[in-house]
Amino acid sequence: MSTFMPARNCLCYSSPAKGGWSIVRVSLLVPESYQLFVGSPACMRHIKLSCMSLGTGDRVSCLFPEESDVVSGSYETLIFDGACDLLTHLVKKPKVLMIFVTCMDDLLGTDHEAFLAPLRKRFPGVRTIICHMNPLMAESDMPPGVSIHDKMYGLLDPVEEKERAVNFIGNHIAYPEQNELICHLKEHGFSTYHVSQFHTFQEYQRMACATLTVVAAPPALYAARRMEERLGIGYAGATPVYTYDEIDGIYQNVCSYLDIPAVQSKEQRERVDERLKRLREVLCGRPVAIDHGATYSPFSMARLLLDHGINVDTIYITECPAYEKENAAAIEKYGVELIRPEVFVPMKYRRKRDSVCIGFEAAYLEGSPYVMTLSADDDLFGYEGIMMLADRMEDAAIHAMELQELIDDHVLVV
Amino acid sequence: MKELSMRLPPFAGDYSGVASTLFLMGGLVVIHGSDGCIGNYAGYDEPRWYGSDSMVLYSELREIDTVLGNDEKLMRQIEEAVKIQRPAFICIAGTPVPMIVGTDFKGIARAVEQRTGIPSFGFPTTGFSLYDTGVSSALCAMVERFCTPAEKEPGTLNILGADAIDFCTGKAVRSIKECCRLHGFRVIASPGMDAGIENIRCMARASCNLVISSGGIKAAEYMKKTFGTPYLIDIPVGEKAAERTFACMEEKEVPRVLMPADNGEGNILILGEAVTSHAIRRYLIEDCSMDGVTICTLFTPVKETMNENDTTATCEAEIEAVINGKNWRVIIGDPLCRQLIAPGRDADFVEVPHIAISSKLYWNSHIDPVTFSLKTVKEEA
Repeated sequence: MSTFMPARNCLCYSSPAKGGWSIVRVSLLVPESYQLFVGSPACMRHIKLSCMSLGTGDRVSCLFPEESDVVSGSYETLIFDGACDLLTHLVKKPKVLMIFVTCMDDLLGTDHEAFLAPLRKRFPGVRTIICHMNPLMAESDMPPGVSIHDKMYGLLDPVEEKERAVNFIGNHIAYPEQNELICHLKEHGFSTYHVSQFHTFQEYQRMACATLTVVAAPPALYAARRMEERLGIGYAGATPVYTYDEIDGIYQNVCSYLDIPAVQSKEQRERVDERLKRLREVLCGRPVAIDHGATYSPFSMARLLLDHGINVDTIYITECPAYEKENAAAIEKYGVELIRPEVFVPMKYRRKRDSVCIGFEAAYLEGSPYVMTLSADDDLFGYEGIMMLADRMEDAAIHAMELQELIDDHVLVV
Repeated sequence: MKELSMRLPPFAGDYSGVASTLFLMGGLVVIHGSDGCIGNYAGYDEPRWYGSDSMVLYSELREIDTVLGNDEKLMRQIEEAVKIQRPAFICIAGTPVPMIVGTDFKGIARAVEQRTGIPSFGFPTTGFSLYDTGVSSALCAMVERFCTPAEKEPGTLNILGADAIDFCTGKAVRSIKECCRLHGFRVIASPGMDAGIENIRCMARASCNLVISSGGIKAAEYMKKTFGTPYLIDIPVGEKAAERTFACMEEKEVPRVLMPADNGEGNILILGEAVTSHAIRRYLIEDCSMDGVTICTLFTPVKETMNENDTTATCEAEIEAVINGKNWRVIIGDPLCRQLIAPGRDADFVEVPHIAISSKLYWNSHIDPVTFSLKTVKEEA
């Protein structure tokens, strides 16, 4: 097996289990924010419906230009009028209005300032910004997943004084308090901040006071760089990883920056070794499949599990990210099959087996009801994250689930 | 402001209508756009997506290909795809970005057909128009291309406009077919729900067409002009109304529409698709002896089914104005429309979900119009 995956040029299949947190859902983490989507009805339908499923439909509205608006040049005027109408109608004014433009906006060469400036003047208490929902740019330097983090943290204003605090950005869910890094930081007098813990926009501004930003996902790296430039907050890359040396490397960076003693990981490693041994016994050689929607580091996760005798035999992934090349090379000896989930496979050739699947898409493509639901690593981080991984894998191995219900409950969005 | 929607989601779009109509016909449907475009259709407009084997794929359009007009890439992608599994036909549907750069879908389809030898169709859908325009275009294209002249068989009919966005996963259409059978009619084809190309080839044998949604009208008109097949726009809801439906389909001159015997301005409002709303109204008047039923069509209107009190609404603001413009006693419509009722209004709301509005939020509660009954109205009212 080679981890080299040649460039593809095929029509793509979108499985019912594809998707995760949309950029809309991510950006709604900013408290007291409201979103106005501008585009064709077809583009925005799944956004509004998914927000309604999540109970946040009252924070999202849609503005539909007609084709004639797009070609006649009245598009900017329409956006201005629509935003004014919206802000006038809203009883509780938001602190932030995010105007999301879609793919076609990139082609139109829209002058956003033409409506942003007068909007800000008319509604001075509302910070109005432009955001992009433009998968057309997915392979550019600024895909939507990257730009949205920059937009969110670009709302933080510079402050004079810093606190003994560490931001975590990029992860959708705050890491649990019992995580060893969080505990270690607290022991040394550092608070930890995640956007989800703030209830008002004013409170959210506390993230500008932090000393360090821990970047918990690759799409947030650009935002962290910009935070360093604008706010003087340094950053450390910390995409969730699963091998011990990688975890220790992240902790070392963080502690070094903060000038605090390193996290002692010997006991953690022993604890995790023991737990994975028990997991191996429970799984008893059953195949395990991982999908790239479940974790940013599928090869790292696979390497951890394989090195502990767990039979990961499939990874569903489109392309091996550069930061995973070493792990990908390390697991070659195990003969893991790499399958592109976007390649259409007729039903008669699809798998149907009782593998233990990490991620929704892996479960769907394996035809297996044994699924550990995970999206973009969720709250898994560090050694504590591996303990949680093991617990959830064991639970998944025992309990067959209705995958379609799980997909609906988790409101996956492409 | 009519362009602004604060509570209702946008309605299902035209390329969803195309894909939904062709979903089970054994073809390759290509949505020429990015993954968000297909995510919208597959995730929210296609109740049959989970577990399906249909070849509905997307081109993963990127900026560079759009700007350079790289249609060749799309054509090569299609050529590769048909090597995996040879489809009965190929369809390419547009999305907003190709519309902006003026992509020639019909031209691409011609080139694809030349290269692959497979019948190919291009639909210049844009994502701005409603799903029923996509249903109409796709259905008509299939009928025009594959339906061949044949001698008429008495007592047979086709069901036109049976798409999943109007009728969900098929239970409703099966009810309609069963109703046809009970009234002595055999259904030759119901494209959009369970008919493949071979069924479509035989459609001209039908003595009549039953058009159950606005998306089926254009195909019905084509068949009337080309094969002399008459059509009736209706859904057999209720006993008396259904008897009248099938009786008139056996007449020499089949009327396009059956209007209810009596209707004045009253206090029952139906919000929804034109043909379904019309059928429910006929049922309420002819089977339940109610009067004063008004329809507000939310999608493409069918003028022949409208009376002087009926209206259309194309956006949230207009729907809200209709709902609150009068003191309705009963409102029948998609559950999401309920939130538009102004506080203090007393109307009883009968939920009849429509996928083009509420999508998967309510598609497990989809109501079969054939079995829609006064009981449903009474339970809610």
